[in-house]
Amino acid sequence: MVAPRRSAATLQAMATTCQRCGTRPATIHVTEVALQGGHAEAHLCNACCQEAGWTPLVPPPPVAELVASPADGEATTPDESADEPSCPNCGLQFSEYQQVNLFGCAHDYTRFAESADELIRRWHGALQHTGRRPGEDAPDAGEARRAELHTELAAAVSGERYEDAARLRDQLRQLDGGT
Amino acid sequence: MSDIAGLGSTPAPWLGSPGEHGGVVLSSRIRLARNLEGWHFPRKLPPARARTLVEKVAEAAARACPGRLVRVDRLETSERQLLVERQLVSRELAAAKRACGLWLGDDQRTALMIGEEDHLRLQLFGPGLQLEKLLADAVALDVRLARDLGWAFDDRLGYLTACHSNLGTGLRASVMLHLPALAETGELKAVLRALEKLHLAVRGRFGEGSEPQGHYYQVSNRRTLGQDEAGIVASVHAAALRVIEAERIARESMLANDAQRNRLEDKVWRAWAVLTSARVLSSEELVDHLAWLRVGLALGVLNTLSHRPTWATLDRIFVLCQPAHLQAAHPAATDSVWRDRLRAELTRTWLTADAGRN
Repeated sequence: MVAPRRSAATLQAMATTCQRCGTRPATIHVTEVALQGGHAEAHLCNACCQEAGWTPLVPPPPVAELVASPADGEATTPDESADEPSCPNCGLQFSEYQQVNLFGCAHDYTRFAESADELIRRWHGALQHTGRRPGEDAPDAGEARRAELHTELAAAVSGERYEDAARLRDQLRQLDGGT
Repeated sequence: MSDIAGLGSTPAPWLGSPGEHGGVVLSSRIRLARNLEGWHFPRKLPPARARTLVEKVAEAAARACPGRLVRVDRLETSERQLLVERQLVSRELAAAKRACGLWLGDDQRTALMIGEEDHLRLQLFGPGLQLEKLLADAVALDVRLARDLGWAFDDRLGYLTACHSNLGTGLRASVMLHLPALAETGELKAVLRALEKLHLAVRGRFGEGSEPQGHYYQVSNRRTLGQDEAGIVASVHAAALRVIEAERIARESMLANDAQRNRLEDKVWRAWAVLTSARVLSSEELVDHLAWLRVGLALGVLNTLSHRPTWATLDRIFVLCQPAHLQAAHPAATDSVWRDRLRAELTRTWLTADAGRN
């Protein structure tokens, strides 16, 4: 079977997961058209598209199509818009995020709350975290505690901290119902 | 090679078991994305700050998980590639120019990526389908790390991450599946479409086209916010079970149909013939043929062999015959012609070694 050779590529905005990294939103839809007929499709994020060496025939409108600028409905780049608001903490402008899908700091979620919330709602279908908070135990607290003690024990033995190791071993016995 | 010496010649110790699902599931992975409170995300970190980040996280990791730090930015290109082939680091981390690292647990099932798009990507791997166990271990490790590292967290958005697609739990639960029968019977596309509708992401392990080589697929949750960790893991686990069942039915239907059975057996035996005879083997050819040997082993097609290969041998070939692994273990194999010859020789040798044991 002859692998299709790319003779043309069309790009358009998509709202799915990048097939290459599997994590970032796919913002570019690539169609490979074989010279012998037939075609293959790929959905990629900006970073993976560039890494794969695909050059858009037309400038990709990645996240811009999902969140239109309230001013004129078109996305702008940092170079084009010196007046565009930026984060006072990291200097990021929202149009920069639209290009790379990476915020500069946690404060950006507050600074660009309106636009960010729209992206978050579209991607997750939710705007409220319902999972663990820092420091909270695992869903199965007993199992997690046991795993934690085992790892701490291994680290203590590895570091020749034998008093700590003895204490951890006792805690494990207690957890397992021993004395 | 000092930092990662040995990885090129030995597969991860946890590999080599067929698991409880007939070889359809290769492995499970849990990943938690975390960032330090008050720090810029890695993309905006000044170089000196990025170096401090690696040191700070590594110090905390040393107390939480026995292992060692690999400074990825100081590795040769082929060494970085080896870590990618082993799926310990992402392509993004391997390509990063700023200070970044990998904390590799002594058990090789714990791998912390430091300074990728988030400050920390905590990963745990295991054979077969075991997301719940891995989640429990990952959360326990997260709790230990949080004693030294304060995480960026928001009551509404959960753990704050550089990309909005990882917010909330920061949890990605993935299962690597081998689905050759669904691909052969043409049912794979419908299965993959159904997964997408359940907000699950599916991507090929090798290649980016519509038909990845060897038909290895990674299924993971797409959404990380709005559902708790146990719910996310339960939904990926349930979806994986449904896909496993569909693959099993497709395999049985192929065996029940004379023409299809003949085609399947032919593919398995051709794979066996090539891998035990070829003098030159490309990576792509090896992945394809090994995939069919896995099917042959799972369905008993190879049972007539008095010296059939073991799962451990197939995994060993699968991992160690990747280009950067070959180069690490055999420094002379610097070009693809050498590597293709070496790959063929090692594959023949290891398959024949099984014959000697049986």
